[in-house]
Amino acid sequence: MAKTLLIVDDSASMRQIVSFALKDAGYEVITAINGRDALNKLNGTRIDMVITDLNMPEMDGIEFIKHLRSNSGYKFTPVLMLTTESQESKKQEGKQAGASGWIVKPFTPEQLITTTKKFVR
Amino acid sequence: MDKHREAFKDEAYELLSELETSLLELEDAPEDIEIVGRVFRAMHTIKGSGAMFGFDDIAAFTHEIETVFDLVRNGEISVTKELIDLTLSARDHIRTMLDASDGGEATNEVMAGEIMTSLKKLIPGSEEKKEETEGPAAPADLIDEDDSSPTGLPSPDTQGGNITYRIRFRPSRDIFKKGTNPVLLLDELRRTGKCKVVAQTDAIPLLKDFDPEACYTYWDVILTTRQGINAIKDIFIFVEDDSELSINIIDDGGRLDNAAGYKRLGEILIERGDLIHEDLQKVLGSQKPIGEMLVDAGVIDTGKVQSALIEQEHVSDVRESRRKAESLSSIRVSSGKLDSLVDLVGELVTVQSRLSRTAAYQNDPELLSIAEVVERLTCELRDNTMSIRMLPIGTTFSKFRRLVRTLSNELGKEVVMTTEGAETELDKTVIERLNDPLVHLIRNSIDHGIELPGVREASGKPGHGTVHLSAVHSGANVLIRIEDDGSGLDAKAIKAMALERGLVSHDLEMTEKEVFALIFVPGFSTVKNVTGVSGRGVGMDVVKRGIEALRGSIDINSKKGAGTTITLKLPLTLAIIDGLLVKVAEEFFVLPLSIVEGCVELSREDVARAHGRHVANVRGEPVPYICLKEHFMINSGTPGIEQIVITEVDGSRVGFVVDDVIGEHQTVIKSLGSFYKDVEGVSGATIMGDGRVALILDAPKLLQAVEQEEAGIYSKNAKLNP
Amino acid sequence: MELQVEQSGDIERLTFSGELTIQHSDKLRVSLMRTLDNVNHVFINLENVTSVDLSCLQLLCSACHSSQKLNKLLTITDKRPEIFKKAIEDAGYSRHIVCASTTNKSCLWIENGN
Repeated sequence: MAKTLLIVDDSASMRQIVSFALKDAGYEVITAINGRDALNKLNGTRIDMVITDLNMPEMDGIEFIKHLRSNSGYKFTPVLMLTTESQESKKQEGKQAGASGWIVKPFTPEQLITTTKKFVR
Repeated sequence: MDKHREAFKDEAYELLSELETSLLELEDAPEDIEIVGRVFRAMHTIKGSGAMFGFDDIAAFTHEIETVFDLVRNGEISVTKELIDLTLSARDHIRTMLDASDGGEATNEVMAGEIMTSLKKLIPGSEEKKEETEGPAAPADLIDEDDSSPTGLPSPDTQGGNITYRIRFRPSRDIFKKGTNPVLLLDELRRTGKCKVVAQTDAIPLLKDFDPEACYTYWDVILTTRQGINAIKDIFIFVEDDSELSINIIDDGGRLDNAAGYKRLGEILIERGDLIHEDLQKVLGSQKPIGEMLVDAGVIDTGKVQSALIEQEHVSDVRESRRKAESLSSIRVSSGKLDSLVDLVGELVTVQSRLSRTAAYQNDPELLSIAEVVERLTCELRDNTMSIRMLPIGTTFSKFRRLVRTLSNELGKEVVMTTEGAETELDKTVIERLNDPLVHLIRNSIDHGIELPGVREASGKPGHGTVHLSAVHSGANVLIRIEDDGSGLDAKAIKAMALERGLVSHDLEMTEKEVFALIFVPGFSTVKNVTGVSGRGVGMDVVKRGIEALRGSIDINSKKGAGTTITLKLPLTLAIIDGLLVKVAEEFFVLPLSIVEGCVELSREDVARAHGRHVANVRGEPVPYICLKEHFMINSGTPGIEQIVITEVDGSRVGFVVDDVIGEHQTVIKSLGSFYKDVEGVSGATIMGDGRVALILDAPKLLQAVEQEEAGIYSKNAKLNP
Repeated sequence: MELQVEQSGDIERLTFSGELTIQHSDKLRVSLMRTLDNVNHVFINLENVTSVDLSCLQLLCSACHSSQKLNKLLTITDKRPEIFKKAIEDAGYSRHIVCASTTNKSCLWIENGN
């Protein structure tokens, strides 16, 4: 059974390249344009992993992760942050909110898949 | 990729026009944090995505503006007209860069430099200093500064060798709540090399204190890999801050090897901090294996001992295979090549034999001498070729010494291994394919046969058990025996088990031998625990199949309390045999010379005297014989005097009646192929000098077939005449 | 996770089916505790379980310890699905020595080791 991943990013091109790489590796992909949109799209749907950007309008990544973790259905769901921030503070903030890991842009599809495999089979 | 680049450009153009609007709005409302956020995000996306899609120049340039707006967002710089102007020009420059990537107008580097310098001046406390250290942010910088990003790519292997690590990984209790499944990290370790994982469960509390969302398990991992320590740390990158992770090199690819094998169990445990020295000393007095004593003494959990044992075994394995690799300074040739060489030599022998005959027939001195030289060379070539394929079984034997040692240590038994006939040569393929069955049989002997020292002494046996491994040629076969002086097979227990598994029915009367044969039935296993010791999931049925695939057979003798002997009988499937060529009507057969004792004549009178029974009087002794003509149903007249070839088969004498004995014949055995593989009594064929085929007889099998046939007739008679 | 309980005298058989994963681990813990309070023999049937994760392996291990502490017997029935065996293997839970806290030399991680 294919695993379903949710990608949250306000950049259409990022959503496109990330979905493309993941679908290529055999995952099912759902996309959302920001945290608010993502929460609406989840709404109880079973999801195996979330990949989210941090800087987004409406609801940013950090706030989205906090919401996600407070929902018992997604308490244990892996969350990967997409970030250009190499600063420790942003990473820490994300981890505090409950993120499982991060991947720093730019990354290659291979790096994305290797990192994804740390969380879903 | 091009498709993605297009998508990025479309998006970037859109973002740039939004950016323009936002900047103009910001000029009117410089305090509006919402607009600052929009500007920042636009830059952020252009930078991040730009780098993703290969627009490194754009990413580098945008990085500076993003930095400035990050400061604005944090209230460290305020929005000024100058900032807006600069950002607008920067925005235009980015647009030009986007156009340029499509072959548009070239970008103005001078202007870009000016924008950059002015922007940097806005950053408090940076100015020229920053310029020096960072320079105009080159794409490489962008990647370099993110050195904590997990690359997931194998780091270049500078060492070239395998390194063995001991890893202890204790994740934080709330790792599940971070969405991380530590088992997947173990999977990742497994993918990097040869890996053994032992979970430690001693921190798991009782149910009443158990937090179902907490992770109580931690792990010991022994990993042999070409990866460096950083690549391994990378695997744990997301959890290392909250976890306890220790990685130690316990074998560095050879430099640390000492002659005396790997560390002792106690040493390993102390080194890991799982055991304190005083506790070790306290229990060292008694005679039991150290692991067992430590557990009994309650100073350590068994999980730790198991993990240390696995480390011991793993490192020993790694070193063993390294030694093997080093000691064999030879070329590797695929066995396929060797096979075709053997085939060619076989054909050459055939042709050479024809040449010799033709030369003898023509009696031309010059041709005769050429034929002689060809014969000699062919002989040498043949022997050499065969010897390449033949290996002494001793190499395998010595490998088992190691196995015995490791196993007996692990199980707390004392076992001595003795060997005999290590020089016995067997075809290489046979030896290779024999390895797994032998490993299994030896494991069984030690695991289930040999008792613990205490038990042995109580029953009057020496405390140490013996496993005797022997190989001996017996005719066209090699017999390999695995004897142990352990507890022997328990026929009752075996039968009970077979009943339970539904392999036999209740009322069936069985001889002890038949009962023993049950252990080879698929689905039968007396193994109580499928353990690391007695091979996981490999039953005796697999052993039997392995031996039968080599056209061999397997035989068990066992006496309860006294031990078990398992005999493997293997044909020399591919070898030269010295044979005796005989003729029956127009057919040729070869009997292995090694079993031939002599030949006697069989006259019509002799046959008449025996009253139809197939028994001949050979030097005052009755010898049963098999008439090949009858057995192979060859229709032809019988000469007045036939020949009996007297052979020794399984310790008794048997004759084979033929029309004529031609003489000794050296021959290359050719396999008959799968179509004939079930033909009883024939082990192969050989091609003679004139191109005709002679079948090689397998005397024991032939005898067995005849015996079965006769038994069948008797039992049928018995039923007919009660 | 679905749970079916059959009780006969001093024996309870717990048949789990579906996903034995962390989302259900609390429910699993509660049912194991209740059963161990109730009876002396607990048989756990995992034949129809479709996935097992580490959190539940830990729980079963804890249940095993708890049962020994109470001098009760807890066993997993022999028909262990492949998915369960694989979970044990993947998590490094396979054992060939029982752990020190056992009193009756049984361990869930040694197959047929009871």
